[in-house]
Amino acid sequence: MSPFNLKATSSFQTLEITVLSCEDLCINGRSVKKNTCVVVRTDPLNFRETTTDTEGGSYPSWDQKLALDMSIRETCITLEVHCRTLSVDRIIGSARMPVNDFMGGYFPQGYLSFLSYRLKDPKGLDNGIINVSVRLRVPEYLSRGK
Amino acid sequence: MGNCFSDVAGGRAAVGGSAAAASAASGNDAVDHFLKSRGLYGSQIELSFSATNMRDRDVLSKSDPMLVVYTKGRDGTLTEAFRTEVVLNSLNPTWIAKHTITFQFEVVQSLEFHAYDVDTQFHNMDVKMLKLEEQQFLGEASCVLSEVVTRPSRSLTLDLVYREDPMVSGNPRRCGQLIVHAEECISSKTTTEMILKCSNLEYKDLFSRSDPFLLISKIVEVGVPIPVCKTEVLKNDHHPVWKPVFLSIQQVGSKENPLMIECFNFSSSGKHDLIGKVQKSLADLEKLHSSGEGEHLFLPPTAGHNHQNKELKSQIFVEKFSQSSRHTFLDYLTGGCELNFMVAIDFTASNGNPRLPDSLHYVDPSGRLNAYQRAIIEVGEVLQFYDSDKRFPAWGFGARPIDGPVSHCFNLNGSNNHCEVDGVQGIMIAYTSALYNVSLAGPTLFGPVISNAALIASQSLANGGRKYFVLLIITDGVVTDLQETKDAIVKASDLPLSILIVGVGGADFKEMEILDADKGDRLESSTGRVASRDIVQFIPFRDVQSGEISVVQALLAELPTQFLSYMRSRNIQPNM
Repeated sequence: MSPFNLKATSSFQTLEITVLSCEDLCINGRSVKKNTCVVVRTDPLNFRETTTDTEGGSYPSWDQKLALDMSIRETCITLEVHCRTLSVDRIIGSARMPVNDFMGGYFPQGYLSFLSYRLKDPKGLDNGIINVSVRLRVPEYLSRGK
Repeated sequence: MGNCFSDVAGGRAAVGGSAAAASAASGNDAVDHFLKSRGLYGSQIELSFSATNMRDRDVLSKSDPMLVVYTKGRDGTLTEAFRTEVVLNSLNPTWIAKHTITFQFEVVQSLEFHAYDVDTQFHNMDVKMLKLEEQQFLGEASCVLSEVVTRPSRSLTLDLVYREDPMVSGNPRRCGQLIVHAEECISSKTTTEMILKCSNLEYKDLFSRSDPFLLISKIVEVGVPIPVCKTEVLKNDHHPVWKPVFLSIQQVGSKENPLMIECFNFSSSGKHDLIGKVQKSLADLEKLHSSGEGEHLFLPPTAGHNHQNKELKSQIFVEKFSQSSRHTFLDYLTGGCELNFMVAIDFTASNGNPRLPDSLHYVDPSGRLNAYQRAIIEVGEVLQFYDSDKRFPAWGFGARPIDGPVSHCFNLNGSNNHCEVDGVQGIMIAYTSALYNVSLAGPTLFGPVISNAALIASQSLANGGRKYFVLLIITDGVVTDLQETKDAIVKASDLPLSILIVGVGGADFKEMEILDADKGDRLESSTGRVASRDIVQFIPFRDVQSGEISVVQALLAELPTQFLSYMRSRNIQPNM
């Protein structure tokens, strides 16, 4: 959990990211059986995570919405897929989501973007795909004028 | 036919080919075509009619009008489709009888209406028995079905006209107005959502994996079952749970109609092995869901062996079964959504010198259209009705405009400022004039036109528009920079845009099929982003034999499904 209350400052915004699902996850060359979860982070201290999927195997799905505060100067969000048991927590795949993929340019305020990324395992090899949807929460003082 | 799709974070749809010999549904053209596509959109529409200010033919009383509805073929031939009843003594009739017609998005459905005053002596006859030449002709009107369904009120008012003497040219006399109103049948709007899963799918052999998908078909009295819907392919899964499938009552006929559900093992060769099947109606599936039980799959007897069905250990379960009323494609149109047509034409040198008859760009003085012109018309004529201002961005690529460097996205109308032309005719005119104003060059790159189209789509989004864009790219060759094209497509996959690529000429288009996710994996950009939707459809253009559905029509038929999946995934309502 983030140690700071960042909502009051105008140089931060809230990212609503719904972690949808992953496809074709492998661990040690074989399909993942269970116990995967996704961590969404901007830096080592600022992150949110989903609950653990115990049934989906190599095609887990969460459909979980996470709210993550981030600086408006942030350029990239990291998505990590963890395989977690009571004793071990391994990152089996990660992807970087550039902020430009859902922000800036001609995207209207509050646009719901559906994005998917190739996951790479710690060795840099392809390991499946992650599907998310992202929306920037419009700060209160901006939406009041509408 | 089907209105079935997998959700945005989609899986693969199966590649075409006939089913394995063990299945009763093998070798059938309808199945082949279906497996190659994701299903056609057809919706039942009820047309009702009324008229005002009709001509008064009778001396002592008012006319007794009846309306006859014809469908008009491409060559202009009229085929009678329907007759209303006779309304007595009225110049402003509202007919009660309604005509049910299937709205087919991919076809231009021309209708013609003839109004008659029915003579008193025939008033007690069944309207079907009336001889039209014995009645008094009151006037005629014509329209295209898409014009009616795209109106916000779903009502179209047409002038009834009457020619005094067919031999004399000149303005026909107006004699009243006909109002045509369309309503979508309830059966099209009620949808069943199901989540199906299987357990213990059998290994076909020790070394192969099972990549299962389901094909749901409607069982008909005579002939092979008609495919209605198929799920995505799950990789290497013996306990598959597929994404929800949506079936409208209209697609399956009724809740009690038997359906065939077949589980196939996907093969990239196109020859999918049948793993097992069951036969259940929607009502049966609802019972399976509420009981929580599974049903064993079975294999039909193979030729020469025993005549029993072989029951398998594998079972199918219905995890979810719910019925709801969903917004249809026509609901979105009524609510103000539009389809905006854009076109990009390949002007690379491989087409051949346009002045020579063997060039793909040859404009025949006799009026025979070349492949580029035919593709523009086939797509443009259907899509034009869904665009309110009929101004279409049109580009060329791969050529050198006069005194300039090679451009991979130049305005077809020759303007420096704006890219739009007026109507399909505007595209044709700009195309022929561009042919003589540019030097064909190369290479074949799609990146710039796709990025331009994506820019227009996202600008429209930013302005709050409810527009969905369709980019038609007509090309004679294989794209040179495949990765740049993939990058542009991946970036555009989250926008309200579909891309139709038509390949003309005799080139080998095998590589282009990679861009169409139906035939392979999801597209990946060079930065690691993956396309969130399959927005590209590719088809090689070829001449059709009579009676066959045109290849371009098959492409167009997918559009309502792509449009709906975009709208529904973002929970965008029709705003009616």
